[in-house]
Amino acid sequence: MAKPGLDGHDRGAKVIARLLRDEGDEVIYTGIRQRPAQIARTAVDEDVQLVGLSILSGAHVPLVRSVLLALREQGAGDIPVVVGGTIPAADAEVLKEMGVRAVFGIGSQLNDIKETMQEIRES
Amino acid sequence: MKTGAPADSRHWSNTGFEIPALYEPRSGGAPGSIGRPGEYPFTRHIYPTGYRTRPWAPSLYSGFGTPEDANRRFRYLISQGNGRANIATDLPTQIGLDSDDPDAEGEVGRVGVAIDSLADFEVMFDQVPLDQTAVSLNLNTTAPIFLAMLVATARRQRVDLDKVSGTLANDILHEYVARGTWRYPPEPALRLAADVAEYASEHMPRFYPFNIRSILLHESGAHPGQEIGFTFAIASRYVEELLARGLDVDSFAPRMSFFFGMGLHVFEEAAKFRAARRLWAAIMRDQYGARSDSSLKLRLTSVAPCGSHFTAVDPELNLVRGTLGVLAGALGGVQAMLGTTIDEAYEIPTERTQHLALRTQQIVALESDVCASADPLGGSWFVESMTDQIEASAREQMDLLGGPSGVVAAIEHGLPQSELSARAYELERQLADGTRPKVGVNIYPAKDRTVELKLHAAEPELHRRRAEELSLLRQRRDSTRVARALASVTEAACNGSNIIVPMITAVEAYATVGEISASLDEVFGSYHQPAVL
Repeated sequence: MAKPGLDGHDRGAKVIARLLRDEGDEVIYTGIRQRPAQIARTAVDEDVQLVGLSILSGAHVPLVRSVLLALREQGAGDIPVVVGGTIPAADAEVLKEMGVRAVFGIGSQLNDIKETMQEIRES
Repeated sequence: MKTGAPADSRHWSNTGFEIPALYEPRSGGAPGSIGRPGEYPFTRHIYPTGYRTRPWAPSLYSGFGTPEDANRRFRYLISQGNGRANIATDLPTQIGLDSDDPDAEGEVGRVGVAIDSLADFEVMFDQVPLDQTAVSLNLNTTAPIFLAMLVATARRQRVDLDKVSGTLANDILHEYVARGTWRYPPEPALRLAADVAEYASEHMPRFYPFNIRSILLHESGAHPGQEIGFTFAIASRYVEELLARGLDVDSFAPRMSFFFGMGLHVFEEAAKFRAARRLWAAIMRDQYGARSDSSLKLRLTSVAPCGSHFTAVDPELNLVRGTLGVLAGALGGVQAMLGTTIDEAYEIPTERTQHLALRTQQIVALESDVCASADPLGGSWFVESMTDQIEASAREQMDLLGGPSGVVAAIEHGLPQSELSARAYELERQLADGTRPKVGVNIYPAKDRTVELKLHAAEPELHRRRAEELSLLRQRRDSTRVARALASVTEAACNGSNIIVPMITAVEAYATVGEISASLDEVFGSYHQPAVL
């Protein structure tokens, strides 16, 4: 679970991290203001099954593009990435075209998020 | 109608106390703990006649893309007789990064206006006289730089500093707990906050150098006891920093203002404001020896209510939630309310939704009887009992963080952060399992759940354009003068003298926000926040 960019609103990221931890998953939370390369490095070093990004500042398109690029550069382009935050529907499509597996926008339900992330990891 | 819980179920307040189905007559509050409005301990109101002589001030918050946009808005407001300039800045400006910094990619002009140097400030305040406009700046890490810009702008306009009014958030410790626009480690950041307050208390008697934002805690999940307790631990730390510099408590305490969050539990929220007033008055009198009444009064702004209580689905229903929030604020006796618009959850407010938020406050104030008598809930067994409970909880939460002397270490260890995220998770679980009803979400679900989120469309070329402007600025200015001014800022950071004076020289030389911030990095170092869940 990572927060790229300058946005420090981490309530959502932490709630999802706690949810997954309660489900018995091991969760690594990077903290806020992580550079894309740092996030990719952590994902590789920790050998994660999935990367979750949370962005609420509106800068999701360039930031997600940079994280996906950094993952590919570090040979981890196959790790699935999901994104949560204030993401308009049109941007969600843009993110999915870039390769993001799921986007959780405003009003997403806890159980839906959990199940979708489970499905992605099992697929 | 479903109530979300069986009739014989047990109820708890958000603060965690059981609420009986009926309050029997009881004293509700120890003798002397309630008092009269306008008198110590100010439980009932800070003014003797409540809202009769001084109604709360409704306000709205909005961000603007460029300094030119902000300038047009301020001039319009002045022409309408409302000389208030609320400035929302983008994240790079808040953290001290110039618009051309690689880390600012995608964020320039995004959540507010980008300000890189005094040149932008000059544009923003062109024909906006600072003796006729109160400037409100929500800045923390870069608060000293912006105080310096304000002083420099006043000088250029030939406005005496004692005529400049306004508010600077300057509440850096809350930023480590929530929202996260920190840059330096907490101890030197605290020193900068004290520099701002010290300078303002000496030169700017009409200016509020602290607007302490417990709202950040509320939006992160805090219950009323946490909201007050964490905030007062932080605020007391600011008081102690200034006392340690030899300032008289009565010289600065009246210029501290607070910005609380608000939820929809009307009675508990009203009790929260009553408890907060009582506790702050006691702290200021008994801990810090304040003598003037003005130092003991907690000046409260609240939102009405926090956006986290609104829903994205069925947004019109947020008007009802907003009304409950305004009622809670009015019953709690706040001095100002920041309207929350029904579209808060998914877009930048439109003129229409701002209009609705403003009119909601006016209807509650003028068409109901909430303003007729001070503290309408005073003497209610339910509310007095909750006021006592919230005050007790707030004291416990202050102690949990180690009070003013322990709060910085607690923040560095992530204690308040972790407490809040545990509570945010609990709230989310209650929404998921339906024990906390949310109409349209987990009870009476809305039929159409799709929400069209509209974000402020940042100008795609803004980043590049700002970078070009910065490059021109750097060519135009006297680089020797800039270098000398930045060296003086670094020197003041080293030797402990007040940073504001050399910062004024630096901004007047057109040193940028990023350059001035970086000149402190050398001395203060950078901060790496522990990532705690």
